[in-house]
Amino acid sequence: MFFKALRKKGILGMNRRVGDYILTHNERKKYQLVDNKITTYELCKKHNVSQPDHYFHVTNIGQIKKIKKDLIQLKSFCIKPARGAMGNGILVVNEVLGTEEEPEFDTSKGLMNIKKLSHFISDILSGLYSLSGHPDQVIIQEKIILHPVFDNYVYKGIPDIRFIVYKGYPVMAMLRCPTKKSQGRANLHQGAVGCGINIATGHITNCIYLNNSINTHPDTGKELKDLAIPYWEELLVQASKCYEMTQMGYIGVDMVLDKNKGPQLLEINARPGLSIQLANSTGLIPRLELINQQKSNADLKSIIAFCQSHFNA
Amino acid sequence: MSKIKTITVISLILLPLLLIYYKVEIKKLSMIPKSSSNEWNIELKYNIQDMLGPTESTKVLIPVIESVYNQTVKLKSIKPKNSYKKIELDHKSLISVKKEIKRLSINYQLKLAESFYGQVMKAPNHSFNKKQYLSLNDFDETNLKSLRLLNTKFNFDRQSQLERIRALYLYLTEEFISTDESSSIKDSLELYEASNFVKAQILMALARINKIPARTMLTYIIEDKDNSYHLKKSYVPEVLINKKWLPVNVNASTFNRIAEKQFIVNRDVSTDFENTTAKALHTAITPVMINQVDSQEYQKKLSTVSGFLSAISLHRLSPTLQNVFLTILLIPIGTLILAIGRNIVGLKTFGIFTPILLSLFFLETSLLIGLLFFAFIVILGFGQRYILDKFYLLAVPRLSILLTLVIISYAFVGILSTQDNSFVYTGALNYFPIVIIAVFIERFSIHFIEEGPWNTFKALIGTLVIAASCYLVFEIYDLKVLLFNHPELLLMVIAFNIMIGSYKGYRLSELIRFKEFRRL
Ligand SMILES: Nc1ncnc2c1ncn2[C@@H]1O[C@H](COP(=O)(O)OP(=O)(O)O)[C@@H](O)[C@H]1O
Ligand SMILES: [Mg+2]
Repeated sequence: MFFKALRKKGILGMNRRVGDYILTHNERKKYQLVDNKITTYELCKKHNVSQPDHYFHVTNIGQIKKIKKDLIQLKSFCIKPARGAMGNGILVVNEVLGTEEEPEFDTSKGLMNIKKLSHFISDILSGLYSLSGHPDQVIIQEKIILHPVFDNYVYKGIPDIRFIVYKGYPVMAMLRCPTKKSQGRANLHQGAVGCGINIATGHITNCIYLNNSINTHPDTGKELKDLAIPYWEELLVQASKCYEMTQMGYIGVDMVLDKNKGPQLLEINARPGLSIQLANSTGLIPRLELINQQKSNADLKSIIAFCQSHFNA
Repeated sequence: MSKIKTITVISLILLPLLLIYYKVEIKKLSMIPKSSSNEWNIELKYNIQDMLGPTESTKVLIPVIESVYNQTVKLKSIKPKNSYKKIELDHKSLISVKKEIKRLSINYQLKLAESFYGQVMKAPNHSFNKKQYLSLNDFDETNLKSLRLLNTKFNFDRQSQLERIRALYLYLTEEFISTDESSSIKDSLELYEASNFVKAQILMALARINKIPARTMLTYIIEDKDNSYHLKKSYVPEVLINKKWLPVNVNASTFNRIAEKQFIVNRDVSTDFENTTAKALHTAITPVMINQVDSQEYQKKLSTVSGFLSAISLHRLSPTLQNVFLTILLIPIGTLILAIGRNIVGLKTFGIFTPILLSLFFLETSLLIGLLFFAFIVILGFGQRYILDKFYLLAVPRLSILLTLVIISYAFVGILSTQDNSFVYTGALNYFPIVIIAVFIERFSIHFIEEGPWNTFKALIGTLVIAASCYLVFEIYDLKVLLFNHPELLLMVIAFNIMIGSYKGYRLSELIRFKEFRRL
């Protein structure tokens, strides 16, 4: 039939993802732990999972006027909606220029004056970028500094590493490198490069860009398969810990590498996408079914060892 | 599937099938009852405040539709109750309404005989002032001059009254083109084209010039347009020959006969009706509820078969409500199409139920206007991003501006619809489409901001495909009637939804998404 090839490769489709994994392993009431980045942040603190610091939160429009001074003092930071998704409503401020009275912000969306920046923040508050369209909160977050290993693997912005963590097992991973096309954002459908990663070693195996296989970064021309991700085991451990932290069985864990602070959790996703299979050129189902056969009380160390020995490709 | 699920699905499918089997096979009720006779429920709504009073302006007179010629009429109800007074005049009945009453709605049940040929007409059973029907006072000099001139050209001499009327009828039906624009009698005679009303007036005037008493009747013709019915105004002159009134149907081209789907509202518009209510009549009579299912008959049959079935039958509802439910019962079918489109085909849509709402919008307005308006809103939705973005507006006021613009253009459509040859059907202009559009704009804008233009475009196509499929299915009249008669079928829809909801296979769209894997 039509779907024979997909079935043979063990590709996880949208319906099965929802029916067999998300609905059955992720309890509805736990979603708020990950759908709101502020809640996730507090949870991480409790569980010793490191995250970029939140300097402060903006919760109502009246506050916007008062934070001008604080923002100028921060020099660099990242503004994001607490309940955003897919890179919407994220603004990275690299530097503050101009005078104290009339500051100019050098951002990922070009130079902005305080009026433009305030408008951006109030848009987030009004719910423009939130998942549901309901009023939202704004996070002023520590800016992540690009780890030198990624030099020339990104056009601008920060790459992130997506893990599919099933019952605590990191079963598949992919590196997402921003491009010119994705405007510095690390989302595949916006034109970021997706690189499959060998779980055993952290080496890049296979890459896609706009649904096509590639070998070199489209903007910099750098050979992608040369890249091996440092701190790999620590990344696996941190990703695995997110299961214990959220008690959700099927999640997407987004990690970043900071130049100074090393592996950091960026966000957790309760409905992770399926493109990771394209990046790895492998279906998820065989790996997920292998995990189903494992005992559920394995310790962190043996979980990582299991994944490294079985997903070595 | 789990056992409980399987049992649920099977019983949800079997139950309605058994019930229908019982009704149709054992009790011999019809599966899809259809009307056998030309019977209609008609609701006329008058905007009393818009009507000009006859002389003193506190009251308005509305004629009551009566049984005459091939029509048998039953007055079912007048709402609001006690707001009117019935007046029996020597030759017709009227309803008198005080102008404080804003709206009056009259419900009739009307039966039209299939054919009117050969039927003997009743002699007028009332006394009347013959002079009134010979008067030419309503026509001004220039018009009369052209009419008289025309009359001389016929060289009527020894011809009988009937022969004269016949000649005039043939002249008007064969030489004249019908137009929607109304011009003076004189111009119409010169151009050989006349509006419906003017044509009737010409014949009436010529009859009177020939000393034949004549008047003009207001009638409606029931038109079947895309499975819904509309009323079209048409005027029929009536002449008195040998003490019998004779309809001279110059507009429907039937001599001595009212057409098959035509009924008479008022037999004398020139005197008290057309003059006083011309404008309000045009806008105040809303299209009509037609009960093609022949509810009463069916309900009667049902009650002889089973008191229970008749007690829970939707045929108990009033005609207006029946019409509402004919459409509402289709919505679950729409959800089924939606579920298939999204979960099996893999189409993207704005929001979940937006496509179904949209298809209702199409039903309400017609597919063409629906699509045009839809395209307009999409352009507006894309355009606002580039224009309103420069103003740095908060999200909610921005959406409000968008909605305001839509309302303004909607008002524009309303104005267009008053044009005589407008293609916009006024009945479609009510709150309902705006509610749908408001929901659509909100979903559309959020989608645009969250997912960018390309994904918005994909969702747009998905939404349109599902909305259009729903529209096409909703247009199947027999399906409507089937569901109306056997609403238990909706249990099957639930069963199918459980089945689709349990489908864990691939979506058709995933063949494209994962095409890499098919090549390997
Ligand atoms: N603090 C930060 N410093 C620099 N870049 C960031 C920061 N936070 C997020 N980003 C960039 O934005 C992208 C999306 O951020 P994320 O928190 O995952 O939001 P979303 O839920 O919208 O995907 C990241 O992949 C990264 O490229
Ligand atoms: Mg993300």
